[in-house]
Amino acid sequence: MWWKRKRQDFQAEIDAHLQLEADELRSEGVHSEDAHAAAQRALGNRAAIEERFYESTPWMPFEHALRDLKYAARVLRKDAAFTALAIAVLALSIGGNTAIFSLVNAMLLRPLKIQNPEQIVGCYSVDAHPPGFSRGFSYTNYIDLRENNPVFTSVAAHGVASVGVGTAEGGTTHRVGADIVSSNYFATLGVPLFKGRPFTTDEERPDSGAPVVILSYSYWKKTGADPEAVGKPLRINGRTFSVVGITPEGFTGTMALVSSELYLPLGAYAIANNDFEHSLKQRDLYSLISFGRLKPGLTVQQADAQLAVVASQMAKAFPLENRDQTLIVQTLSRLGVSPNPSPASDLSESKIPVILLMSMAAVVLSIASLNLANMMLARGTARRKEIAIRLAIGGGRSRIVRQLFTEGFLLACLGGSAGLLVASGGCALLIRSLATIAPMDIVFFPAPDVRVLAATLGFCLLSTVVFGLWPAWRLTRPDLVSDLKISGAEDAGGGTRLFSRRNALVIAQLSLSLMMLAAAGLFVRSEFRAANIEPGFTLANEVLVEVDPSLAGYDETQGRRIYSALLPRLRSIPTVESVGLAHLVPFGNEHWMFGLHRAGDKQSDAPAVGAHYNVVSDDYFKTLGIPLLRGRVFRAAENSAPLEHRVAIIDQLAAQRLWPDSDAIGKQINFNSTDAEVVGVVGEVREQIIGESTAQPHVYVPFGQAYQADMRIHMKVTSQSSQAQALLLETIRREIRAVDDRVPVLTLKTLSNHMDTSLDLWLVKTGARMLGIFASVAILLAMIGLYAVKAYTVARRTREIGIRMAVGAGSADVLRMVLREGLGVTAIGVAGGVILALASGRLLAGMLYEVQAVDLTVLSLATLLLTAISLLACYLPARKAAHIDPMAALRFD
Amino acid sequence: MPTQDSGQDRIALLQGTLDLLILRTLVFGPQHGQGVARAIQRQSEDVLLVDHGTLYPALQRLETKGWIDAEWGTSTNNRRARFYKLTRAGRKQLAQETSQWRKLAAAIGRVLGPEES
Repeated sequence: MWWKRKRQDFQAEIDAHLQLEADELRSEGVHSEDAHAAAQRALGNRAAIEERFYESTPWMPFEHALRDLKYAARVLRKDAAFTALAIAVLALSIGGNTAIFSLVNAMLLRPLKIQNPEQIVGCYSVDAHPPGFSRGFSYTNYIDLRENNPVFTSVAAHGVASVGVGTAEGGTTHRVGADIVSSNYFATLGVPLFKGRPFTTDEERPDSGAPVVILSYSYWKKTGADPEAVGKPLRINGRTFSVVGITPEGFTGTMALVSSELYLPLGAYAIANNDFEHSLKQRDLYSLISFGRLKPGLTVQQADAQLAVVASQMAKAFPLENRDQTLIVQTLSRLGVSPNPSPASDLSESKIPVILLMSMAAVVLSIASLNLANMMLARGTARRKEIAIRLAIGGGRSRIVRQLFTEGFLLACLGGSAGLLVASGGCALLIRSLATIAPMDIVFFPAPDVRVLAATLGFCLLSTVVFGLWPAWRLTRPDLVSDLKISGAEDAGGGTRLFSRRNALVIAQLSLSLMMLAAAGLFVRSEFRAANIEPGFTLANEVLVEVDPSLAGYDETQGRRIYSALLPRLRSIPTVESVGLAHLVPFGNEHWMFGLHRAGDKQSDAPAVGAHYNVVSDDYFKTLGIPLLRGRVFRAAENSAPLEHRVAIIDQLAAQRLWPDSDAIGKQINFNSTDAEVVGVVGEVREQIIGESTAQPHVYVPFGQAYQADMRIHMKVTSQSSQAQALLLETIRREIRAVDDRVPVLTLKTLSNHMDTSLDLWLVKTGARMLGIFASVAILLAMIGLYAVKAYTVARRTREIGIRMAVGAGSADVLRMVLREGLGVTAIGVAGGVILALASGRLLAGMLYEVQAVDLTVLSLATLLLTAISLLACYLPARKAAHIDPMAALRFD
Repeated sequence: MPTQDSGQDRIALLQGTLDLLILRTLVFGPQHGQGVARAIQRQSEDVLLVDHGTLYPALQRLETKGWIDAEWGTSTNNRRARFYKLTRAGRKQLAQETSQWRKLAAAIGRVLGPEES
């Protein structure tokens, strides 16, 4: 029966029965009045029958739940202070968990806005002999693969670039991330455009220079969401492009959370990169990244085997470029775009902080749950009599447990809803903070999706089980007689024992709080260490300027002219001591790695030395204070023009690894398929702090040998006030404008400023800040818990304390007694916390900068702080106990 | 006079047999609750006593299980009453329970041995 039979209907049936029965009895000869009475007698207790009918309907569980819910709401409303506190505690902890989870969800879990993302795999060209390194695709190799491909239904290629965008000729430009894509890029991903059309094969043709562009939805929105945008012109790198399409909302390519803002056809490769020396037609320009949609039913192993055949055909056709290369497929990383396959497990470094934050948030949630369990238990003890009465008059234990559980669940849901608000606010803050340092456009949906909602509900249920079910279970353990007898103000001594239930909960909270505090301490210490890092170059009095003539449409010749005009002008500024150029800056968002070999070793099995690559000018080392250890730095002549004789400078680390037994000067190294003579060895430099526990090898080539349009100008300046420094920055900007007012100045700041805003330091700092917040919340919660238990115990023991004082205990004795008990609890909590902190420190040390697993300073400071706050939490109830009036206490109750 | 307090040779129904008897009674056509009770008493020749207080919850239970259907109608003496009738599932259930009951009764009979006179 799916509908609900009305009570009235049943009553009518009973009435009908009574009449029928009376009729029958009358027909058998019973008197009219007697017949009615007899029929009613035969029926028995009418109310009980109706009750049984009511209980038998299948709706009963819902009825009960609804009644429990109403009752719970009434109880919670009655105790508004408790409810508000509990909801606040839950909102903070569930909100924290949900906020972190939202980010994890966006980064790692939420499916990308492409069709069947699980079929999309990266295709990589890797070294077969010796294995370990990989390179990008040349356009010709990509076309060969596309036309002779046994494994993909569709295979696309793309490359990322930064381009300068302006609206009108001669106007200001700013830099945005662009993706230069093959014509089938959107088709391979299975993404129909929001507006307009994808690129044609004609526009893909190398060097066609097709001036067409597709905007990302987010860029289109940011620039005014012009409904007539398609067909409008856009200045890119000094040339006029025409908008032909807009990507759908939420499309972020193959990456999560970050996205290119413009899409250009491969035909515009030269314009986008301002590289007119090379052509995509060249077989040795390995600048593209490839991915494809695997044919259904094909495994990665099968695809690899079939691609190996393709690779050997390519090697036969073009041995010079394709010898010793093989092709493999692998899952694409959602976190970046790279010609290197991501590590097989994909549990890369960037996930570790996320996992860490997740687990810390979970610790806060468990502290909050313990805390609430404590509050519920204390409140439940006060309600013990009520519960005992309900049990005594026949309330089933399961009904009462269900009732208490409902109360907990209602609280958790209210807290969870408040938590969702906290989470969305927290997330927005994090994203905004991230956007200031992110090199790319961030596309984040603030609206929680099913996963986030499910996770929040999960957090609610989890905390309900801990703080609702467990106390309910304890409280309904039937011990009717003693509960009915107690006067409500007396505890059976449960509060005084050191390992009583409530104390155990507080001890657990204290332990977890100490662990959080110690973890936060490690982060803060790491932050200090990182802020005072000695990276191998000087940070003080260094100015960093980034310019890029290519964004104004200048090619190499024009660019070189601008740089050679600019450097002397900058040098002539009075406070500038020296000026150097470099393509890449340490702690930047870009790193360029090459495998170094001793020349002639390439074919042997000697492993390559992975090294950071940089293009620098002659004065770079002097300007940054990187010491020259042997040989010479680059000459001024090597600065400006391409040279026949290729040279390179390596650092101490690379020198030791390549030539452990002899001097590297004068030797030939091989990287990026060319040989170069080592002319100098310089000191080590750190490029990043997260993911690289020590400095890595470096190789430097002169600016004349490898032109890069996008260069950073480093300037060593005399030490001066910050005011003078601001003035200097203005002078520098003016000088650049004087040389060419169309060259965009992309960055203009001090080097220490650059360090402060680098991703590495952001991670360390944000980690420290978030853990600091978590730890503060944890301690606050633990202290509330400790205070509540102490205050409660004192209230329960009023009479006992009164007697003690009546027989001669002074108020100082009472104060000491209560404090001593509090100290006992704290001591056990701290002991547990130290063990937890040591264990978690071991996990943290791996990802923190220069932090030891056992940091005695941090640990002892954390212990001291926690103990001090604990004592304060105990002192207030203790003082109250000390002021108990013995006479009043004895008359109490 | 067939009321509860008369007759010493009446037997209270065994647990679980009321459902079976109700279903069986309804084989002869739709009947209201009071009629079902009377029919059981009549057919058992006044040996089985149906407690009217347990009858209606039992009917409700059978209805919830889908073995009987109910509809308001008019009794032979023109009173409104709720009439129950067997459903297809009810018939199946009746057949099954009947055979089970017969097996059980026979088995108990064998255990108890021949009737002593």
